[in-house]
Amino acid sequence: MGILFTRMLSSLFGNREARILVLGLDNAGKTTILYRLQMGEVVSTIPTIGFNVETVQYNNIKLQVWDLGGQTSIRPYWRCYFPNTQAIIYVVDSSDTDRLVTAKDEFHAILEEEELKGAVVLVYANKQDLPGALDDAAITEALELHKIKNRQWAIFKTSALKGEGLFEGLDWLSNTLKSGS
Amino acid sequence: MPSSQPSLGLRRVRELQSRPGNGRCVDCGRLNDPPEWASVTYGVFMCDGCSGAHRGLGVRLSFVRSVAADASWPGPHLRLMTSNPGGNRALNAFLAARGVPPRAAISLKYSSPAAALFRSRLHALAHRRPFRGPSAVGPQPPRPLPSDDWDDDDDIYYFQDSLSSRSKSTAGARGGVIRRNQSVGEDLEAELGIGCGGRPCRSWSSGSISAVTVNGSGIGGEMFSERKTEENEQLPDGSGSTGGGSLISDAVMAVSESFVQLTMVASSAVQSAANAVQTGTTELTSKVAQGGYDEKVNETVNVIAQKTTKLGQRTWGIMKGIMTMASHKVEEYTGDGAGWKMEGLEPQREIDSDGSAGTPRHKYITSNSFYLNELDDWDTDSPVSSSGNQKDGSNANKAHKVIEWDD
Repeated sequence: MGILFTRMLSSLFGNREARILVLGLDNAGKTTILYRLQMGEVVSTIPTIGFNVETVQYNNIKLQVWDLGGQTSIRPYWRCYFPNTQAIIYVVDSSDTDRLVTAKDEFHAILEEEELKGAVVLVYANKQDLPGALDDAAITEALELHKIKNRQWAIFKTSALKGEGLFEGLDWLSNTLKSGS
Repeated sequence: MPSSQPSLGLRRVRELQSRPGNGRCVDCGRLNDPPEWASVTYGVFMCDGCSGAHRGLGVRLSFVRSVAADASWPGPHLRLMTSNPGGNRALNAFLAARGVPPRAAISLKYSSPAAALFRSRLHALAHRRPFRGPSAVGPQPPRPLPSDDWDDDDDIYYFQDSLSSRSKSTAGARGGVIRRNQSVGEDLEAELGIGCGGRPCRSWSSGSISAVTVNGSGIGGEMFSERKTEENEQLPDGSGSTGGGSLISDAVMAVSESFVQLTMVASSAVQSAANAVQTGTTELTSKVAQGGYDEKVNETVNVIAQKTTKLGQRTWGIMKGIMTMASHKVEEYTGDGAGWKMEGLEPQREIDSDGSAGTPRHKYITSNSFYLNELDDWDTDSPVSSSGNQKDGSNANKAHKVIEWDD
């Protein structure tokens, strides 16, 4: 009876669930972002070999956030997590200018995936706290975001260490997910 | 999907990983088997915990890769790794010699100026750019960096001076003391320039001329070498260094020659005076021996006194002449040096070819050369991999190439 009542309330007030993948090259800051969103603090991380998954309640949406390891040899396994994904958070190290081309290639390869056709894309231009970090306009150009067709996307400048920009992005994401369904 | 056959790059990194010193994390020292993470920026290996801290530094300070999970090692990364065959030991020894302990906090350790120097040098090596250090000198024969044998307690560095003298010392003494000492006679005692703080010292005194000293890299030599590195970064190239070195060398030779001449004349003058006194004394003795001639004795003493005064004046005249000659000679030799000063203890100010006056420069003193295994010579069967061979210059010459610092 209680469960039924909860479900009725949820549908009434728009509380829903979404499956989100956090992707990006190794050391982009995916794990730090995940735990910043979930715990509100910076944790010391080690490289993710495999994945981390946490649930984040935000704007009446229960986000199931999957943070997948970004090392070269485990990127091919990302596809195992693609089905039933509503959104992708793509994280870029804005100071790692040498690998922006790689970041772009991986990004567009993901967008080509049939299983992700319906997923919205949120790009975090992360590590804005580091000297030499490119801004959102430069990252937009480097990732060739203007080539994205038939998909909603947005980019935000973020610093996971300082907590800047993350929740603004999550606002956009939650609103987009709500309006899209 | 990863291929079952390891790539050539991975095999090379695995070989580096198996070298002595790389079995322990470069930062915490934990014994892994072996550490699976590498900082490409320094060519070192670390545990997963420390790799997390490295990743937090940003890619400009440390670019971290997994040996296995980033199995495809692209050329630029591989070149950086293989440019530091000494791996963890080489980095820690390098930093320790510059006051950064191996177990320092990672954020401090890798943001230190010493780490920046190491980064620049490794980058230059990997890109086959010459990296000239504090001073530029002519071509030097290769000398191996005993990188495979380095550990935290036995830091050995080699320095070369522009005068082709060499010295080796432990990190405690920080660089060899190279001394060139022009001894100019029995009266003209030379002193070594410890008290001059690593700068050449010249001083004049009435009876003796002391110390034409070139202190190679002596106490604090390495410190100013690094300071020099910073200064050299602002220079267009190292050519000025060579010019400065040879100019000073010439000037030192000129001073030396003049002093030798001066010494010879002074010696002869002293000898004359001694002879005169001896003659006078003999005369006096003979007079006294005759007895009862007090007045005559007094007269004789007066005569001796007059003679000695004359001799003294003559000697002083000769000395003055020689001093003038020496000064002219030195001016001749240093005529191009625009600012070589003979007076006082002033170091080589204004001697630089770039005309930046007022700052003491010491370009001629040391040259740090860093010898590392070059990528093309790298081979899994190379003797580099066996520790103990590294200190043997003849052996290491085959696999090593001298790379000089240039920035």
